[in-house]
Amino acid sequence: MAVQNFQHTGIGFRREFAEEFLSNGFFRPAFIEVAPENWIGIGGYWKRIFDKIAATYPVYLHGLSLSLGGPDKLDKKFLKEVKTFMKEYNIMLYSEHLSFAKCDNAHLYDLLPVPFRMDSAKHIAQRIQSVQDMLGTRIALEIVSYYTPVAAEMSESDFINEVLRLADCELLLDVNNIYVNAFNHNYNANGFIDTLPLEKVKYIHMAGHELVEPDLIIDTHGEPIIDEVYGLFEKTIPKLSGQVPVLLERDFNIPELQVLGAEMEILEQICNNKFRRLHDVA
Amino acid sequence: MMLHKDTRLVQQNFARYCRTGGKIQIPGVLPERIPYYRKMLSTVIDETLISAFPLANGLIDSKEWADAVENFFSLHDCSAYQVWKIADEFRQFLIVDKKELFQKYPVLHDLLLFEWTEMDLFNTPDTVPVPIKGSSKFFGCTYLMNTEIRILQLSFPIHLQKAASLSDADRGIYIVLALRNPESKFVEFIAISVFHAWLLEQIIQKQSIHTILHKSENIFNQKSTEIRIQLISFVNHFTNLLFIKST
Repeated sequence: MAVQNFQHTGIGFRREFAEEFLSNGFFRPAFIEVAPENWIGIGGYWKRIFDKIAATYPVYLHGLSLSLGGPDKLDKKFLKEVKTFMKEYNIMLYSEHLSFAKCDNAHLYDLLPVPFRMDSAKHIAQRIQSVQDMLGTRIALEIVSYYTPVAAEMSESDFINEVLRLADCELLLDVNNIYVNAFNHNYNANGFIDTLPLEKVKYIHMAGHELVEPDLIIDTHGEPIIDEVYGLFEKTIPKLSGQVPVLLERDFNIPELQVLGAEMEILEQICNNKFRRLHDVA
Repeated sequence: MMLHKDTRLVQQNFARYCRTGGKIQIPGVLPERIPYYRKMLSTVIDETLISAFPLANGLIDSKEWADAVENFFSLHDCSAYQVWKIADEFRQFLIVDKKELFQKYPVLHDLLLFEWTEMDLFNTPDTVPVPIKGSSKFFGCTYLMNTEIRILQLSFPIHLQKAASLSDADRGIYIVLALRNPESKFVEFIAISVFHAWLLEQIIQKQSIHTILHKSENIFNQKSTEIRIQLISFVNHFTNLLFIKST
């Protein structure tokens, strides 16, 4: 069986499949993504594995703990470590979340929703600028899934647009998150995507989710991508101004690598088809 | 600071709810949805700690474990951005705030230290082996020692027996060396003598062989020739474990 070489599609690298991944004869992703929190300052066995991975594939960083939307001060020591790590492994892309994960000097280890308010938008934009100044590069900001609004004073779309405008950062479009949010908050996912500054999309995430109540989806990254999310992805790609990398995220309930490879294959085919058309039109 | 006081308070209340489950009123928050956040955060903490302390988790009654984890998350401000490091914060929290657990489970202190050490040493950044000062003069070649080690002093032989089988009759002083195998990179535990533990500490502190011999004669009240024999035996033993190597 020939090894599938992906041009657009990458995968979230997990320790659960690390060894099999290194020797797998099924596919070679276009890149891998890791959370810096899981790899910075790690030595021994996992450093050895990571060094092999980083020597084989381009690495993207997707942060979890920076808490861009949080009230606490930015962790500049951590940012310095990120910068060093990016340099050491020649990492070109760092993304983070439009959420908060730290409050009152306590890390919370999950992504909490921020209030859609103008002061919050300005606060976050200023912090993103600080991060970009420190790292010397633009970061990509991910719109997170959320399950309840929090003291909102403006629409979600206006809020996101304001943050991106003020921060002058890139957008990480997690298509599954948009689907989840549209379902949970009863709006049209396609229409919502049309309100975003799509020229800023630098990177796309795709993942599965879980329906836990008739009116609530949790963004678990523990299931395969559903057809509706593939459909939304397919409709979104032609709206972008250029080709962007696409990531398959799978953090829980991880299946065999071949199963993940099959999901990546679907994403790759959509990219090949839609990106080629985009190119033809241009 | 761009963030208004009111917005900050909203976020603080949201985070506080997630940690404690206490009642809050935040405009727009759906009361039937916010518990999902508390559950998700609690699950991350609990699963991380169970993964870090499988033996301690197995020893403690499940209700006591659940209470300890909940108290930890609600009362302790986790400072590590790397979630695996909260294991040590949890260990230290229990020592200070859950003394009754250590009275009920005398081996718990050792178990938590043992399990944390294994994880910490397994993940610890790589270090360069240090030369054993004066080894070329004494041995005829320079020896390098791996410093990816921890020396533990335990009160129970948890490295030899199951924790649940140990009683006060087993209480004593047990010196255990945890070392990260330079080839496999996995952590191994070896019972060592007080003398070997002392030697390791001296070498890590970059004391020369000459100084070590001189000090050990006084501290251990042994003849110089006996000390020399023990030193050679020590180097041979740890060379076999790939822990000391000659250049």
